[in-house]
Amino acid sequence: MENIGVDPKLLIAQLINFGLFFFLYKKFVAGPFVKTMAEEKRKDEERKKLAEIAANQKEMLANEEKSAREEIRRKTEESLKAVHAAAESERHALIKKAKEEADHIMQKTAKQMEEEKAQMEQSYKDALAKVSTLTVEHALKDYLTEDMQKQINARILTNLSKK
Amino acid sequence: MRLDPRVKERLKQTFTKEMSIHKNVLTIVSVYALSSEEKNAIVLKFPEFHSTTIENEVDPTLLGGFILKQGSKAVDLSLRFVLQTLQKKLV
Repeated sequence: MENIGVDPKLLIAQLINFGLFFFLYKKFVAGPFVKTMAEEKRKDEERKKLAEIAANQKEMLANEEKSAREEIRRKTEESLKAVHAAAESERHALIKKAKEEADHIMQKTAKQMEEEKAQMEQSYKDALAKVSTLTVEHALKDYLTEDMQKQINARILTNLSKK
Repeated sequence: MRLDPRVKERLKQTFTKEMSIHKNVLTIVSVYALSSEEKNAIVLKFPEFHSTTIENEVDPTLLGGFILKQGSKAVDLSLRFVLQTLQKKLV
């Protein structure tokens, strides 16, 4: 060994030194580093997993929101249709009622007009009859003399005899 | 409306008395004052009117003819009545 320039003591010492170095390196440098790397890897995977979960949840929420929006839109349309139908029904009812009221008013007015017309005709007739008789009365007052009155009395008595 | 029986009896008596007075009076209402002949001629035509007294009232509004009245009975033969009847028929 000495011939090839290797000192056994030195070699042993170097071997021990290397072993010690290896032990210390593994214990305090490589071990924690590997551990840290593994921990980082685990955390990275966990983050990825969480991100995936978050993405899924986001997608799920988006889907839920979409379906909720759809549901709201559908319900709104249904409500609008119902309101429209109710309004239409109410409109028809109001129109019907207004028409009935208008018919009633028209009938009442027509009846009232007929009554007023009849009343007016009657009052005209009354007035005409009154004026006619008053005219005749005045004419007779002016026209009839006492002789004529006597003749009228005689005529009445004659007519009574005939009966 | 209820009347007191005494008031009722009094009214009845008064009414009967008045009626008995007017019952024997025949009133002839005419436009002009009638002569005795005319009165007699009229009375003769109405034997249902029995009277002891004949009165003649003048009412120019009758226009013509005459009205006979005795008690609650009356016969209207005046032109005014004819015109009134005509007026009612016209209406």
